[in-house]
Amino acid sequence: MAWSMTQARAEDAYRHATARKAAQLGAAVLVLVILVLVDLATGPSGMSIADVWTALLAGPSGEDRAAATILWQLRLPQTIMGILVGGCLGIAGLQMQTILDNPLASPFTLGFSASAGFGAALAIMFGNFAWLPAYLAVPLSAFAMTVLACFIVYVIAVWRGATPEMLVLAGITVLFFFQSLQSLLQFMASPEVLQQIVFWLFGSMLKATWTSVTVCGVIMIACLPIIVRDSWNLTALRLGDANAASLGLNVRALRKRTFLTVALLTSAAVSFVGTIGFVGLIAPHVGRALVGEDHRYGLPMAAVSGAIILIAASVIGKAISPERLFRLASSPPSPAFQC
Amino acid sequence: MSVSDAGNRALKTRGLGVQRGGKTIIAGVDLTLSGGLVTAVVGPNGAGKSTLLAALAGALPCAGEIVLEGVSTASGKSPATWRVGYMPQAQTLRTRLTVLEVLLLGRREQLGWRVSDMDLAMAREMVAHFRLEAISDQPMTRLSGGQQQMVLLAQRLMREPDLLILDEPTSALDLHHQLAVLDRIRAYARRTGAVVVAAIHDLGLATRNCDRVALVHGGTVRSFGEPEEVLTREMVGDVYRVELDTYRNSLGRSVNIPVSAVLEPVQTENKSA
Ligand SMILES: Nc1ncnc2c1ncn2[C@@H]1O[C@H](COP(=O)(O)OP(=O)(O)OP(=O)(O)O)[C@@H](O)[C@H]1O
Ligand SMILES: [Mg+2]
Repeated sequence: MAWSMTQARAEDAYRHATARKAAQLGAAVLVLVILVLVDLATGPSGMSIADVWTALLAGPSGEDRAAATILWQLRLPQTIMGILVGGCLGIAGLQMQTILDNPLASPFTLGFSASAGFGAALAIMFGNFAWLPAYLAVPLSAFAMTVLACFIVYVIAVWRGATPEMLVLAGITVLFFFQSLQSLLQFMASPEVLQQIVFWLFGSMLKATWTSVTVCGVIMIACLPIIVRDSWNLTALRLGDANAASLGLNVRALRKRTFLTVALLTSAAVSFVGTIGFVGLIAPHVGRALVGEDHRYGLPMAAVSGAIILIAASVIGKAISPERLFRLASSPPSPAFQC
Repeated sequence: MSVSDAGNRALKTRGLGVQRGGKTIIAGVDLTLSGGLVTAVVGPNGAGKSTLLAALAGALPCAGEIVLEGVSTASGKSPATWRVGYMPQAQTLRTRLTVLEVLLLGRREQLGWRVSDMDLAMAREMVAHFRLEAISDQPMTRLSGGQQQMVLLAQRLMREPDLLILDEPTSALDLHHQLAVLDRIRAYARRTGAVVVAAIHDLGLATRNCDRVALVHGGTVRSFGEPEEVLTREMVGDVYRVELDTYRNSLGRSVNIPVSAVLEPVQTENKSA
């Protein structure tokens, strides 16, 4: 009798804790939705909320051409891209911190930012005579270089064993390698090109288009099955390699698989909007602090936190310097808008 | 699982050997561990106990043969599908997962996205069995070393293993919990017919609370059998390099108590040269 009572209490406590995590996740999504609405409703054009609402309902080919363009060609893709990039980097960051068992790790620990930067710089400098328009050539080149960096780290990791130490060492090697190549390009570049490169390096949602939203969204959705499938496994990995392995988990395979997912998510995020470093570091911490280390809740929480951070940054940015945003919206924007 | 096929389960090794870093750590181990019994693996530091257990658990590549027998085909299992619960030697945990979450992870293979009522009921039962009620929602980092050890052991039992391999499961436990945990493990072996092996340093515990003892020394099994047959005064004195006194306890049994370490003269440079 006493037994069954304590047992029932333990179950209640667990279900209760789980329900609380779900509620927190719901609350975070609500905050995100509100921020998204605020973000869509604010901007240098001074459209009223009613105008924004009308333009939203009217669709991309609405009668008020100016409003339709502002909302459907600028604000919506930028905001959605902010959600996607924040989500990708939040998830990738938590996965990285878990597989490297290191709270200071981020998606960029393995050199993906430097490789993307080099790829972008390469396309900005030499892409003029290519058959691709710059707005596609730059992200493609950034993406390709990130995949290359990922491949190098992966080969080293497979060759020397996919331990956290080996992954970090290989990643730092790749980071310095691409960073020096990027410095070389910057040194060789003319002042105008240099400015463009530096602008790319400052991450900014202003670069977002429907193309980038689509690509980033598709990659994120493609990664979802793996993310969902491995969420219990990543939770088990928190017990340490030996314990996780003795629970029947193939730790090395999990590390490699997760590493590839991180590479995909990260390159999808940074190729279009530049390197946005801190989200991938902070969002996982926020997620863990709120819902603990159960990755079923930690991963979505990190994703939502990442999105909240980016959209909040955008809202605050617009509130601080609306006139500068307006001035720079057409020609190359300044570092003021890095997220 | 019926009692009859529980009775004739066994793990057999033939010429089992493990090499690490080009060095032979264990060699020529021939053992037969019967189901339903708890076998204590004892031996000095560095003897190869952990290595032997890891090899049995399939966590280390090894030479020779490990045969798992006696799971009747009627139960629908081939030996290859034996469920293994292996607990490596004590490690410090840095996770803030709660005790209940850690217990649930023992069911990793069965867990769905939503934790089933059955898995949760099992976890609750473990919490009650190991008297963890007061700490069941605490993060692991806030537990003492002994509490962590008990949670990890309970987690392995959550797997309902056919082969339970425990590397020093009692090393951080107090007197009461050492006995309680071994009782629990023994009851589990009796009830399920599982093969249970545990590395233990306390020879008294191994003698009184285990069914068989395997004495490991220098990378091989020096002696295997009933505790009293294996842990004789001469054998223990020789393998552990200690002086023993023999007493008679209240049941009239003789008990060996180690009283001092036998120190070899220190080898000087000159001598060895
Ligand atoms: N990774 C390794 N590489 C090479 N040698 C190893 C490795 N791990 C252990 N050894 C060696 O294998 C031998 C047996 O080690 P093992 O850990 O099995 O001993 P043990 O009997 O469990 O000791 P203890 O009682 O201290 O736990 C030791 O001499 C040790 O130096
Ligand atoms: Mg050991």
